[in-house]
Amino acid sequence: MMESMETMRKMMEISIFEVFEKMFFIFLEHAGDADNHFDSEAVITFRGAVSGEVRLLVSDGMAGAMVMNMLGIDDTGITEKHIEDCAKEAVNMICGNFLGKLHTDDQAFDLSIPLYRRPASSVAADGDSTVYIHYLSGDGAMSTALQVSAA
Amino acid sequence: MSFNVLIVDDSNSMRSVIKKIVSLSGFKMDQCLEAGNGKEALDVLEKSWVDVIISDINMPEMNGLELLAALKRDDLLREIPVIVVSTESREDRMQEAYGLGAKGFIKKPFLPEEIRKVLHGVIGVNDDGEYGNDEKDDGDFDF
Repeated sequence: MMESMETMRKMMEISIFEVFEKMFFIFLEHAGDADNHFDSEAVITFRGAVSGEVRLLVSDGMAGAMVMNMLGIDDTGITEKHIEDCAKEAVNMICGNFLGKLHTDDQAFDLSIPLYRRPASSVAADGDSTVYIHYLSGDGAMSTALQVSAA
Repeated sequence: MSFNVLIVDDSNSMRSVIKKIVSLSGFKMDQCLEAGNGKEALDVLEKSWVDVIISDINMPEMNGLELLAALKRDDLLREIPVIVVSTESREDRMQEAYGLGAKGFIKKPFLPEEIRKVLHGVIGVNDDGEYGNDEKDDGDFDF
C-alpha cells in the first residue's frame, strides 16, 4: 500500500470537497459522528496498485440538494432516477479524483460501474483498512466509506 | 456556422449538465445528440453526422476507450474529433485516450469554462463561432 490510511483519508477529504463544491455547489462541514440518517448509497469498486471500494451514503435532503444544484431543477421535479444518477456520478467522481492523487507510478485503475442502493447500508466504525468521513450541510448529511486492500 | 454535438455518458444527469454548459458557452450548436454508451453512440453515428463527440470513459456495454478504438478503425468516423470527459485523470489513462485519437481531455469534476475552452480549441472556433482560434473572451459565462 503506497500511503497510510491517514494520508488516504486526507486525500479523500480533498476529493470530496472538490466534487461537492465544483459539481454540486454544496459546502460541507465535518460531522464528528455518524448519528445521521442515510437513505441511499452509491458504491464503486476499483482495482490497480491498490484495490477497494468507495461508498457514498446520503440523506434524502442532501441528495435533493445535489440534484437541484447540479441540474438546476426545483424540489418538485426531483425523481428517484435523478437521485440515483447524481449519487452514482458523485461517487464516480470522488473515486476517480482520489485515485488520481495516489502515488502509484501512474498505474491505471479499473473502476466499476457504480451501483445504487436504497436503503443505505449501515455505517460501522473505522477499521484497519476502512475509514469513514462524515459531513453535514444545511440540506442534510452524507458520509463516505473508503475501504482499501493491497492488490 | 453551427455544429452537431454528440454527448456520450451513461449518466442522464451528466449529459444534461454538459449539454447545458455547451449551449450556454457561446458555442453555436445545431443538433445535440445523446448516447448512453459507446455502442449507442455508434448507432447514432450510423444515422447522423456530428462535428464533435464529448464522451465519458467509464460506461457499461462499450466504454469510451472502446468507442475511440472503434472510431479509429473507421475511415470516415475517425475524422470526428472526440473530447474525453472523465473522472479517470491519471496520466497513463489520458495518454491511452490520446493514443486512441482523443483530441481533448477534461477531468471531472470540471468548471464550465474548462469545457468551453477545450471544445473551442478542438473545433478551432472563437466565441463568435468563426474558425480561427483567436479567442477574445474574458472567460465569463452569461448564465
